[in-house]
Amino acid sequence: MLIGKEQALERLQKAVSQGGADALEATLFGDETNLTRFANSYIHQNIGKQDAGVTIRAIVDGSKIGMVNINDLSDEGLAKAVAGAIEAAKLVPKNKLFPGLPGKQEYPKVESWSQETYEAEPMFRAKEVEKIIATSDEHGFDASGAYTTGATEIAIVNSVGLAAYRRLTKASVNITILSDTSAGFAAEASKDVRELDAAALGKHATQKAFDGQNPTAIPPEEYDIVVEPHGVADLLTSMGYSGFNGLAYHEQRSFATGKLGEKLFGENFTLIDDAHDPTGSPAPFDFEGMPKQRIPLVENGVVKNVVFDRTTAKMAGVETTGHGLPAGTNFGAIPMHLFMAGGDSSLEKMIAGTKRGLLITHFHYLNPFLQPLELLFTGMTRDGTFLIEDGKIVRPVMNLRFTESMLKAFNNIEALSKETILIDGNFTSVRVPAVKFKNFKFTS
Amino acid sequence: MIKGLLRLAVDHATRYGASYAEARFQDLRSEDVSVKNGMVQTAGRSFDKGFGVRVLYNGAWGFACSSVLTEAEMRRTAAMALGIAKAAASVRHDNVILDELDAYVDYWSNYDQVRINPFNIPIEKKVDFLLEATNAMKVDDQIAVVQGNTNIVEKHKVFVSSIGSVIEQRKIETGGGMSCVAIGNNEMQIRSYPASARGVYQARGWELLQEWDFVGNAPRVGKEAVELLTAKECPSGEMDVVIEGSQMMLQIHESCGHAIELDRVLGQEASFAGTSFLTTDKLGSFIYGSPIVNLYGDASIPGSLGSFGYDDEGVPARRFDIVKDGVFSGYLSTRDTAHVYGGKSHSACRAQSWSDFPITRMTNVCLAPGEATEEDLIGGIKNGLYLYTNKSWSIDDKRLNFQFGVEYAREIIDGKLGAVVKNARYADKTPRFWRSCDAIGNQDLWYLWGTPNCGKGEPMQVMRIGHGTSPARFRGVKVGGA
Repeated sequence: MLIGKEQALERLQKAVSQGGADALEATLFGDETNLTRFANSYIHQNIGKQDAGVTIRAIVDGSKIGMVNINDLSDEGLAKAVAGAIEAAKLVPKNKLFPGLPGKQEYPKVESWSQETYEAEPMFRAKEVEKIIATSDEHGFDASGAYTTGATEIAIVNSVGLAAYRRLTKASVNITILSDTSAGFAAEASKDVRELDAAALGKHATQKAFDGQNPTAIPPEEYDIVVEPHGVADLLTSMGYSGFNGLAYHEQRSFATGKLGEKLFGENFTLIDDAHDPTGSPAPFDFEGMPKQRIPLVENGVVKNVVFDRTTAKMAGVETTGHGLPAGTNFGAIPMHLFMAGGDSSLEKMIAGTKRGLLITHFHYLNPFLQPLELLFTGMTRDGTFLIEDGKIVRPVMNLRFTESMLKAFNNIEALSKETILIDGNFTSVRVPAVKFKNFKFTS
Repeated sequence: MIKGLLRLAVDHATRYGASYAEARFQDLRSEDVSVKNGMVQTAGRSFDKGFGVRVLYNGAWGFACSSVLTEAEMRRTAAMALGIAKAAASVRHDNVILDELDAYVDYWSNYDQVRINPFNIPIEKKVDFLLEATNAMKVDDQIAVVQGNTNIVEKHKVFVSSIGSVIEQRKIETGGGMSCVAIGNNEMQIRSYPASARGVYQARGWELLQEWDFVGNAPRVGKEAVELLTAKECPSGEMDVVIEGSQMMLQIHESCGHAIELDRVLGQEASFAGTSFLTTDKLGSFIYGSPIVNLYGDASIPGSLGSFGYDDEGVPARRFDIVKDGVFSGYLSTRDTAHVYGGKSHSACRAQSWSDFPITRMTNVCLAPGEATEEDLIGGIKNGLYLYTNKSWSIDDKRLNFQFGVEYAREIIDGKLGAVVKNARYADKTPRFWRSCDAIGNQDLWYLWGTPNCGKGEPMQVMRIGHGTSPARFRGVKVGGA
């Protein structure tokens, strides 16, 4: 059970009112996840998971910081956590980069709750999974995946006036259909479980698996590639946390360091982080309780901004953009609500306009740490890779590994679909088009 | 008291129809200290406790959990798990078959492996230790970032099941590492010590970090990072390589450890982490590696991150062959998958926390030592590379096609170490790679590494795993622009 706004703020307020420190901050993270996992066309895991934890940060002597996480939310538990955080703070040196705790903030109202999702029963999930399995049965394929419903709440209260609370529901289904020689994929997520069409997704994934049977090998070399939205989201998410991270930027580990205002990508690449856009997955504030801001990252190929939390903003001498992560993460700030602008094409037109290339469903095990300054990534294609010749899909091919610079790839965008798809990860979201990249390098 | 509460949950589930039930309590405390560029980033402790109940009803699993430790909550959670199992049983489900298991009433701990309890080292001492070590990496103005971390964990687990097991376990783990980033010459290079991805980890005490002499090694680590800025680019082509121990750890982890998880093989992870090329028809006959390759699983190795007395479904820690003289010989398995090969569970059922459904996980997956000395490994190469410390990693959804990047590499020319090489990567297909292994370091070079952050499952579970290995030599591996 979620604690709810009133109780959450009351308990945290009580915790930060205990005194003994210059300032105290309490963050509550509560979660209920109900999940039905299936494989080989059977349900094999069915769970109800719930937990809530509080992180206390204590500040003494101006900038000595101690922290305790605890999942005992009783008065005694929270008092113990506060005392522990104060004790830890007293034992460490001052942190001159500490920006202080923020005071009271105003937040926009965000719609992120669905009572139907929150109340979804195990039997409902089981029946939805049955619909997916039925679609794969038509071809004698095996269905696997997970159907999840649940809810999360976050509350942040500090002793200098900040009080923030939000809750959200989450519903998602991801499907992989396996034949003896192929796989097909489909996935969807929303705050509202009624928006998930399990049967349609199952049908889509089954068709992919059917079309992908008996793939043949092709040589690893440069291909023009048409990438479906899930694959584009894979690339952008990695670019977001490795490249547009304010900490990486400040520490000269980002491709964008010293290059804001430069045109590093193609004219047709525009990327924005916007937690307010209702066509995304809106959020009012970050994990520091700061209001989220709309940040253009790339405009017509020109790198405009990276994102900051309060600490990295102080390092860089700028203001926070509202992209803080939970205390103790130490990873910097990352864009979590990406929107990539579409174009005037469509998946079908992009395929039709390809002389020789590949259609890619999505990627697997993408790694952005090869050479971060060049945005050199590697990863595998997965769950449906097809050869295109003379504007037509001619046959399925075996998965390939790419090793490619995203600076080059996003300079080589030939076409973008007009339609964009929201890929919702509840706390993060990416709205993206399908994209055709020219001369994308595969290495094995 | 906790044993009585867990017994109540188990009894409640069986009274209302569960054919099997288990309740698992975990109380975890941990402490993290990290510093960066001379300042403390994190000084914090975590406390987390609760229980989970897993029940079997008409051949279907149900799981529920709670952090409230009262009699009423035990009954409510057991009833919830049973309700979930009944929902699963009412539709098409995998008919769970459990292997035979004796009941155990036992106590286990690793306290005999802990010489200096890390919780007795004050936070300020850890801060001093990290600041001294990280500052010592600043050997050049081009060192832009220095950072270090320590992590200590103590777990108390109690397991009660309807077959009569009552098992209590306590374990302490210690880990830490440091790294630096050098910037210059339009390059960014990183060096880590003793390994990347947060350093070295074992189920031992503070003495582990003392043994690695962070301060003494720091100047060398900093110097190597700077050296890489002007080093020659890694050549491209097929070359013979020697892979250092901490990189071998990840090589074993990704291309062997995950590939032998029987739940993956059976398709249960297909929609997320993927499947495996090591299908059941290959058991006992597939040539996984060269005849000198012997890999084994062993959850009982003293002092390892992946060790315990009993796994999270009450199976005693077991040792088994994974690859015997090059032939694929065994899977990581659980009570509900062991029937696939007609044997007993290999004690690989683990959950991240009390709130997680236990799944097939690595425990300790190790490469048995060979006979080669360091000189033998290098001496047998005419033109090749020595590859040190992981930097990037990627493998396909069948665990066949991998690519790893390393922080640091050196040429090997005519059996001798040569120039430093930057941005080295290597790529191969798993069986071809392991079949090309023609030398494995001896017992003196063998070390028990640990990784604290292996992710798997939905919802994602992060597990702590051990890998013992020596450096090893592989022939004809694709390097460079792999």
